[in-house]
Amino acid sequence: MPEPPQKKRRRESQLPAGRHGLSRQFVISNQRERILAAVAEVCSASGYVAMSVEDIVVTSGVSRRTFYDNFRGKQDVYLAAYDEVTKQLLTRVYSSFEEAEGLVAKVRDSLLTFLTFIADEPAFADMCIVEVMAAGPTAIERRNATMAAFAELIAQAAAAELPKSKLPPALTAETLVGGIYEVVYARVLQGRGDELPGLLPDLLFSVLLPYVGRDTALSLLKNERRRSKLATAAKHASHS
Amino acid sequence: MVSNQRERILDAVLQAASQSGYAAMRIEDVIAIAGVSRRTFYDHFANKEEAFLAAYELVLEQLLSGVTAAFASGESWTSRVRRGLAAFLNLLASEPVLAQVCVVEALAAGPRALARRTEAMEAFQALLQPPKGDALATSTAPPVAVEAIVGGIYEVIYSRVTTQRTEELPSLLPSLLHTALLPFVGAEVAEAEYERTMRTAAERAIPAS
Repeated sequence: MPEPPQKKRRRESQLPAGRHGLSRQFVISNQRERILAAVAEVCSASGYVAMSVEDIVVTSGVSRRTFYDNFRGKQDVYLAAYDEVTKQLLTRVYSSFEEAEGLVAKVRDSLLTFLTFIADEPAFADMCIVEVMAAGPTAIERRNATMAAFAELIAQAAAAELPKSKLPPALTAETLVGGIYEVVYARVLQGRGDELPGLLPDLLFSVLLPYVGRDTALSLLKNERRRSKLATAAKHASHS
Repeated sequence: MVSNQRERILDAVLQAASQSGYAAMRIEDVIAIAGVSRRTFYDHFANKEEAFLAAYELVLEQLLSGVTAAFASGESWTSRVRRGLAAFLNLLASEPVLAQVCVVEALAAGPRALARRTEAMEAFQALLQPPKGDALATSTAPPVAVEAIVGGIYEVIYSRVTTQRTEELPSLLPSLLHTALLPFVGAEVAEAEYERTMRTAAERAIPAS
C-alpha cells in the first residue's frame, strides 16, 4: 500500500506563514538568526569548503532574496556566524574567569566552561574549531585573535599572582592555549567532543604546571580527578 | 621524464597551494606553473585533492626525516629534543612554502589530509615521550600533556606562518624547548636548557670579529 502523502512540516524554528502579527524588526532578526543557525548546521555536516549558499537557504527556510538582503555570500555569512558564536563563548569564559578568585580557580573554572561549551554544542564546535581553519585568511585572522585573547587571560592572571622571577618564558601562555586547542581539535574532529569535560584534570595539570610548580600541579590533578569521579557517579545515580 | 613530470607537478602544487590557499587553488594554476599539459596532470593524478595529498606526503616525509635525524644525533633525551626541535624550526624557516603547505593548508584540504596530519602529530608525540631510565627526564606526565605540548608548539608555528613571520621561528627555540621539557625534567633543568639555548642564539646573532 502506498504511503499517505506526508504533510509538509515546518521546522519548529520557522515562523508561521501569513499574517502572524509579529513586528517587522522581529521577523528580520529572527531571519538573521535562522540563517546563522543554518550556517553552523550545514558547516558541521558538509564542511566549509563544500558548503553552499543554496544549502544554507534550504536549511534555514528563508528565501534566497532574504539571504542576500542580509549577507554578501558564503564567506560573509560564515564570518558573521563565527563571530556570533565566539562572542557567546568568550562572554561565558570571561565571566567564569572574573567570578573565580586567584590564578588556579580562574584557570580551572574558565577552562571547564570552555570544554563544556564545546561538548554541549557539537555543531558550533565543528564550525569554530575545525572548519575555521579551512575558511580563508580572514577567518584564520579572527581565530588567531581569539586564541591571543585566551592567552592574554592566562598571562594576566599569572602576572597578577606571581613575582616576575617565578614567571615562565613569555611565550608560555600562547603555547599552552595552543595545546588545549589541539586536544580539543582532535576530539571534535573525531566526533568525541563530549569527552572533553572529562579531560579537565589532565589539561589543568598541563596549563598550571609552568606557573605553580610540579607539587601543586600534581595535587590539583589528584583533586580534580576525584572531583570528576564524584561528579560522574552523581550523574549515574541521578539517571538510575 | 615521467618521474620528472610528476616532481614538477608536485612542486607546482606546493607553490600554488601556498600562494592562493588550498580552497582557491585550481588545476589550471598548477599546470601553468609546472609547464605540463592538462592531460599530463591527469595521467598522474585523478584530481586536485590527490595531487595535494601526494605533495603533502612528500613534504611531511622531508620534515619528519630531518627532525628524526637531528633527534637521533643527540645523546640524552634532553639533547635529542633540543636538536629535533631546533631542526624543525630551522627547516620551516628556511622553506616558507613548505611551512605554509604543511602547517596551514593541510588543515583546509579535507578529511584525508587531516587524517594524515593526525598521524604526523602522533609521530611527534612519540618523540616527546622520554625513554624509561633516562637520567634527567625522571618525571611523568599524563598522555594528554604530551598531546598538548606538541599542539602548543604547532600553534605557535601556525600563528607565525599565517602572519608571514616564518623566519622568526628559530628564535623561539628556547621558550618552546622549555615548555616541551618542563613536565619531564623539572623546573631547574628546563630553566638551564632555556638559558643555554638563549646563549647559543645570542652568540650566533653576534658575528665573531
